[in-house]
Amino acid sequence: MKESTVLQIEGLELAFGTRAVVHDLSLAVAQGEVVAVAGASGTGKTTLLRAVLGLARPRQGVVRIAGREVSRGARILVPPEERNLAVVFQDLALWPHLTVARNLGFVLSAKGFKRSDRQVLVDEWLERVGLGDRGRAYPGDLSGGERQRVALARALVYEPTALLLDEPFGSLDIALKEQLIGLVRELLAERQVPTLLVTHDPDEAGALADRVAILEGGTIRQICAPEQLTPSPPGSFAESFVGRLLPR
Amino acid sequence: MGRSLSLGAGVGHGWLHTAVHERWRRYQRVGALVLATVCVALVASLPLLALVAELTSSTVDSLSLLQRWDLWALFLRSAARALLVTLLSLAVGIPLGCLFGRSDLPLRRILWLVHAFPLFLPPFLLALGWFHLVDLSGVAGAGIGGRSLSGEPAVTWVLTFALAPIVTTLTAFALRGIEPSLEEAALVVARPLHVFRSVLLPGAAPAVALASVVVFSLAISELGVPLFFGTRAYSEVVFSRLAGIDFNPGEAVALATPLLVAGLLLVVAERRLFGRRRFDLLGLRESRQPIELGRWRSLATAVVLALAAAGVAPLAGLVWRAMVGPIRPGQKLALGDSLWTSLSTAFIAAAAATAIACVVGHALVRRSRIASILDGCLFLAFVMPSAVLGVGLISAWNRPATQWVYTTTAILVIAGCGRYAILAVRSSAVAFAQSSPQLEEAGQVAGASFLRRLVMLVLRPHWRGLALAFLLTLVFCMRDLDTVILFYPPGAEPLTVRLFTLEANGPPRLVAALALVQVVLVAGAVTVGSLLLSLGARRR
Repeated sequence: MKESTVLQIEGLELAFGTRAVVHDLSLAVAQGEVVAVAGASGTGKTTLLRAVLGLARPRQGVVRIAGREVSRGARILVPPEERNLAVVFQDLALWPHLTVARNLGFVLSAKGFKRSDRQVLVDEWLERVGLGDRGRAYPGDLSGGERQRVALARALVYEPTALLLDEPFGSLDIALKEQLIGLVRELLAERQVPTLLVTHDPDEAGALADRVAILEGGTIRQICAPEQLTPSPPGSFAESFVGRLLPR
Repeated sequence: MGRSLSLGAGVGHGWLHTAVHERWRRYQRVGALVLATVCVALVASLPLLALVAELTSSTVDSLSLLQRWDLWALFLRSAARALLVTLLSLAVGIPLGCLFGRSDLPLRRILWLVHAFPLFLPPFLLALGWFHLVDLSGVAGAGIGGRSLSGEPAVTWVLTFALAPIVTTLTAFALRGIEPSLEEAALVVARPLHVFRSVLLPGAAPAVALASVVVFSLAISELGVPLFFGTRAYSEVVFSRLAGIDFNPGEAVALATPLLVAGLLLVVAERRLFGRRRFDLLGLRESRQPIELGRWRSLATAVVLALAAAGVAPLAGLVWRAMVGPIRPGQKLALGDSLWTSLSTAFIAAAAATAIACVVGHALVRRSRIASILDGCLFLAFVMPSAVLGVGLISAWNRPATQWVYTTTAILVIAGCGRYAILAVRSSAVAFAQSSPQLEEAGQVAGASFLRRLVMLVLRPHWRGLALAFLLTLVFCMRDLDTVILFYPPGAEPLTVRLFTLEANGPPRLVAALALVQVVLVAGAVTVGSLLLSLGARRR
């Protein structure tokens, strides 16, 4: 393991019920690096992310976060709430009964921040994502782009060890997606948070990732910088994905 | 932003992460489930286990009772009556459920509430109302007095109107819970009635099956209505061994055996028919286009009005009797402490049941096996004929060491919580199932402990659902007669028991007035419940 590696996965095997979907998957994400795992629907991308978070139980393999083993085989050694990770789910999972400010405040109080510090952090992060005046609004009152910004702020506000993104821009139009990708790039570069992004969208992967891993047939077929990916074999996911990959 | 870095680095690695604190956080979920398990074991499983233990040690004399054909004939008669009530309830409840759940029937919310209201009253009170209505109305002028309303037809009539709302309500909720896209995909290619027949009704079938199980179990348990109309019921045989001149607890235990088997069969039926889908099916969705009744609208409205009016007609009989009739000077409402006993014990039982529901209901929707077992235990205690649960409670708690429970109102709390906690568990599970599990997972990943997530991310957004679960359990505890009549502590009878015993020899006008006290209490709870439901619907 390299010294800067924050998130490390070794020989992971995952299943939906009795059907194995991922086998012998190994991957590492270094400090400040963004790694995208790209694959077609149903290839186990989200299950991989849930296994890293501790929300799904792997069959085999080891997951380490900041050098600490958090799961080995089917044993969860560190529960999700103690891994200090952050996630932005595909549907964002903003708590609809809490205001925007309380959405951020809740995670800070869960992490043990003092009330006064919480207020400062909430205000700073809402400003940072351009929602300084929306703290009292409820998620249901926000536009799609605004909700996305709240989800990002909620994920990053407590300085997580690593960030996991599950197709976070899937529901947005192109203009909004480009705008938000810009914001995410800026925030990740600024915070140097190691990030694992799962997606089937070449735009997201190409714009954000330092490296892209192509997940096909239950394992990683290629892992390299986006511009080094090869569109082969013919008819594969990699071919169509690389063909649509935009230069950064 | 630089300041946030320093704050974040400092906090979270101090006192918060002591070994004790971490351990406490880790075991919160397990601890809560263990506590819920102990409560369920005490209120629901212990009585049934005590009954089984008592049965295995019963004398041959007691068990030989089960060889008497007349008792088996009575059991079959009670079962046949319960089956008939179930079939009639289905005949009334399914069409009404469809109309209330998905049609454009005018005033459907109010009509639904009126139709459902008798469900929340003790059925014998409805029997009393029918009796007075027939006695006082023009029918009496034709030479038909209240006493001519008797026998099997009267029992079946009253129980059908008392229990059909279960079928109606579960059918309506199930129809609303069906994913709109399924319906819309079918509407693109088929006419609404065809979609209704081939998509919506099959989707509601498991809920109808559950309703059938519940109606059958309540009908076979019923004691008050058959006694009131002078017909025999099997549960009466058990009751007479505990509270009559035939006092013989050993025989009561033996006689409870067929009912115990019937209860177990009902649980197996429920598990097979409903399985894991029992919460996802019942939805609380509101915003969708109702199916238009077109030219049938007027006819449907008239039929629904007639059925709803028939359901609450006995209340008119009670009001009428309370206002008309002889009364001796000095005669007063003799409620005693029964009102307070009813209210206080039902309140505590419902609160305990709701607390259990917070943990078990949540674990159920997260597919916990332990929760599924606990749900099974509570469902068994609910569908088990009340005579069985009553005898079990006596076996479990009528011991020298537990007289402080058995001879006080605590036994009424245990009985109410044991028998009706399933209502709180199932209804809160339905509420919890409306939210995506990812809402909670997002909190978990962010570091929130189980209790913090449970309170802030599960219970808080669903407080209306929990309040409804509480009210439903409260009302059912207050309507119970068949269980508590077997063992209510001396001098601390609940209102239902008070009414039932007064009815036999009290002045009819006063008894009717006392019955209306129960009606008013239930009406209050139902009004609050329906307000909560409509408030919740608006906010969603």
